[in-house]
Amino acid sequence: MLFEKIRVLFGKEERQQGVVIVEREEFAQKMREKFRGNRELLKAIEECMNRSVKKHEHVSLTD
Amino acid sequence: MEKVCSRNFIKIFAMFENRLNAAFQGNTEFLRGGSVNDIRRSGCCEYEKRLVSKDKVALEVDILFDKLRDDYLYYSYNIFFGKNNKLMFHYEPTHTEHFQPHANVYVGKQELENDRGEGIHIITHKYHPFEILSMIERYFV
Repeated sequence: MLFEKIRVLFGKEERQQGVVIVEREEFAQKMREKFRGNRELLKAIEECMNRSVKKHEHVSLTD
Repeated sequence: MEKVCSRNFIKIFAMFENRLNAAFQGNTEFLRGGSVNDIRRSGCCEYEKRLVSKDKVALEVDILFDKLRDDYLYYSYNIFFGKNNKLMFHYEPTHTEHFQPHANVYVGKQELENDRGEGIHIITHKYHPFEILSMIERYFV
């Protein structure tokens, strides 16, 4: 479990066929539009996106 | 059935994708999405799919998965069929009413309601994508 968390945090995900790497801002914009008005869910996505990056790289989905 | 987790998310949804496409092979009018989107330097993954068959069965699948917490942020499987009928399988742990996995049934665009006019959420277990797939294959292909 600990190893799994470290692997996720450092992005050592094995790249596999059928996987598309999406840029953070592109995904953030998509989520803002898709879940507009659903603040709780946007907050949860935001937390998930920001937990392993430095503060200046944080995205906001709820402003 | 292997529980969905961060380690197997990509593999399971790649299999889901392949089986869904195989089931509707030759009977697909519209198709969009289908890849697992891995968000760069982020702890979440997304799978999204839109499919409309020539028989006018429409599927909308939206999945968001938190890899660190090993749980869904959101899932929604919508199956549109017949004259404005819809089956919806939904789970949204941050929502006050949708935090339990549940199914909603719409007949003729109307959600099944009780006498007080409340939509009935049929509480379910957390559906595995292959269970949804089996149901689609059994009833809607």
